[in-house]
Amino acid sequence: MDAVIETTNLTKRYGRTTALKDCSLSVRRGEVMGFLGPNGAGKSTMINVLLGFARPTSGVATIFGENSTRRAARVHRRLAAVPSDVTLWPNLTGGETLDLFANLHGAVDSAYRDLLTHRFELDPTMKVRAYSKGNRQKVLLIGALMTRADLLILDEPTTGLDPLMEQAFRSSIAEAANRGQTVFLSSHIMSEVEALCDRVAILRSGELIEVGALHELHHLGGRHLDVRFNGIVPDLSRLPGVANFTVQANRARFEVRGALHPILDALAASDVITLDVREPSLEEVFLEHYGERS
Amino acid sequence: MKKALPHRRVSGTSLIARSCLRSGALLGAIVGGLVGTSARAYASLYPTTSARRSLALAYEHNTAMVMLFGPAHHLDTVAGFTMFKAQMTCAILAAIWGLLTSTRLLRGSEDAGRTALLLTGSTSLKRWTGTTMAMFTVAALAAWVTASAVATVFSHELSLQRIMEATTILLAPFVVFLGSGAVASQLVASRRGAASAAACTLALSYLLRAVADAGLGLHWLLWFTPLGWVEQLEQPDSGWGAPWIAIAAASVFLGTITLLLSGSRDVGAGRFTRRTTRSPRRLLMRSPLAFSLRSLGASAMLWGVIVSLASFLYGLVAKSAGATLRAGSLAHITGGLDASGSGTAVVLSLTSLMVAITLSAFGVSQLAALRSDEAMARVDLVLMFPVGRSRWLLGRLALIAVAIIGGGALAGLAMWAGAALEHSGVSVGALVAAGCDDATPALALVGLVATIYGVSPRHTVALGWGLLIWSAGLVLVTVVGSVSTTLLATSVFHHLSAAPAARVNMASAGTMAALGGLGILLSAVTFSRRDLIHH
Repeated sequence: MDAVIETTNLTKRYGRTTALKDCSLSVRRGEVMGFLGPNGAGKSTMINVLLGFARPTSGVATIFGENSTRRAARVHRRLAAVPSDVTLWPNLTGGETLDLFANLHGAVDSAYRDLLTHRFELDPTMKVRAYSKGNRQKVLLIGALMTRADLLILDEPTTGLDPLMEQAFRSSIAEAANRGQTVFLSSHIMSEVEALCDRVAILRSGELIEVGALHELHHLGGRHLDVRFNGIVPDLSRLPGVANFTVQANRARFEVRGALHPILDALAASDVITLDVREPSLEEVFLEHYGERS
Repeated sequence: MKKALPHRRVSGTSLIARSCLRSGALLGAIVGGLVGTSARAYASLYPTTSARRSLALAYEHNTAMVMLFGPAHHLDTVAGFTMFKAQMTCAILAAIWGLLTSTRLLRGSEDAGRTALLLTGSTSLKRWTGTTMAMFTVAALAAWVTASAVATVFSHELSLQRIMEATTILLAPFVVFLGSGAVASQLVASRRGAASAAACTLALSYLLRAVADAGLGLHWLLWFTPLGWVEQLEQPDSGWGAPWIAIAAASVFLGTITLLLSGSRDVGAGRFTRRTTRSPRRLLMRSPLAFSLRSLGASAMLWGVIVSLASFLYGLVAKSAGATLRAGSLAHITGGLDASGSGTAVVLSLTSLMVAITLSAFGVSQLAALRSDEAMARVDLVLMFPVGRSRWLLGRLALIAVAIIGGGALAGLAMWAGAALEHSGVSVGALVAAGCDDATPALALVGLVATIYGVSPRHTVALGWGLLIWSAGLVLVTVVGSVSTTLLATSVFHHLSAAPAARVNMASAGTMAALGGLGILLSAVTFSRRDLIHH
């Protein structure tokens, strides 16, 4: 089977609150899937359902073809996770916590664990109580990555990490992807998702509003144009697809949705010095999407 | 349409004040209850002058009793007996309550990061510590008012003035150990560490008092321990001035030291540096069950030591205590317990009941810890691995059950050791059987609370402790008064045999153990079919 994670009309309600509504999602083997959404969108609920910690109100979630709720322990043999908002045991050292995780998982690549400990600059002899928030997160990350599990489910994995450690995280995920591991990465750090993910799913108020490859999502946002003219700036604001048109001296900045040729035709008739066309960043797409619908 | 909640102004000070008020009132209710029921029990158990004189003769010159519970004065009066009965229990309870309250409010808040949050406002650590300590007066006042009110309701044998005097004396350690906990909170950088350090000072204080009362000519040692000052207060003939001055001076001194220390340290740090690194200890980490045992071990051992020590001490005094029970009183108690036998056996049965209550408290505390692990998502950290939910919970609950049964057997053995030293003539088999029997109501309660945990985890702690207090309260009231049979049947302890004063009722014990087992199984099933619930 090609799909590692498959959810069908997954709905989760807590009393009157609907945390997930009819979410149907498929994550293919070997891909890195980004799972985006603002706070309270339902990302952690989805992950809790996938890990079998919460039972869906309706719908089904399967991992490796097995029901993630009913066969949780069996499914967990092939996955490793970094849950969000967990509390480690304060009296254990980082190394002891990793030993415990290794024993509970059953099979761990010790050499890779040492490499990760070195890469993330973690002192395993320190008690968890004495760790900073970032160091506690490193323990969870190393704990998941060292298993080399077929599927990694990561919920806000870089919380508290400094930029250098974020780089270490990105290289570790790249390694995992190269080895053929599937990664389901929940985050609201757009640059991280943009750098790592093949596909992205966007969740808003419990509903999946967009699922697609990054390049497809980029087209959802308008292209950003920055044009410098020799002389007067022509009024391009009325051309089809043009938005947010601003002029500053001899420079015009605007966004274009849809086809570019009407703009290019208009620019060809003007005296253009420089033209810069930029694809929207994922963050811009994301903000635009939420701006539109909220 | 949702109705907006009324706006309530909340400040850090008001939160601390509320917490102090709650904590003080609860302590007061317990102390007041103990004072009131002791006075009532005395009037009911020793109704005649001769019975009271006999009690006074048996206790007033018993060195072992004096070492354990402090000296007995005027045991032929209600006030004298009440003070003797309540003094050490209440003083130690008040001291523990005090140190736990201050370490929770000072170091606990700091551990949780709440203090740092408050300090982003216009206050300093020193000022905030001062504010918190000022609120301790609210706790002390609430404790005193509640204790006096509850004792008045429970007892008509003591005048209001005598009750107020008694509660003032019994709650004095609360004030001193609020200060002791406050100093420990400045010295040690974790709540647990601070509470342990303050508990060590309490243990030292108790030890010094016991040595001072051992009749070795070291009576002057009483002036070096807060429990000694309280003991001096209980001797009105010797004058109250000096002990009160010692208590006031110690409280002011500890408060001043706390303020000075808080003004010269960083937020989150203590004056003593902690070891933050250590070489790995990999014992009991191979499986989820082994790790559960590792988590449970320290706590189980501590409870085991406490219950064994208490059983040993009560075993030691059982013969003397039993000899003081007159026929009428004995009949009253045995009637309540559905038992028969000598005074010694009856005292051991009462001790056995206390063991059962303690074992139940251990069981409830472990289920509360389980709930806390789930709330803090530590359970997620285990269950995200290939670990079956039901199996994991069954393992953890089975360990609690084994610890309870082991604790019961140990308590029985310790009780026998104490009783044997005094040649009480009760066999080891009878007392170990009584100890094991004590485990059965605890198992039934664990089963019940485990079922609550399986179905509605958020209610585990409140309902668990509530059930324990309900069950224990009903049987304790039976010993000194009367309760309707229907009501009494709802207490798990009512179904406990009064061994060794009566034979162990195997049917009752088996039913309670089976109930416990059923509850544990039910909780495993319901736990596997519900969401993990955090916070």
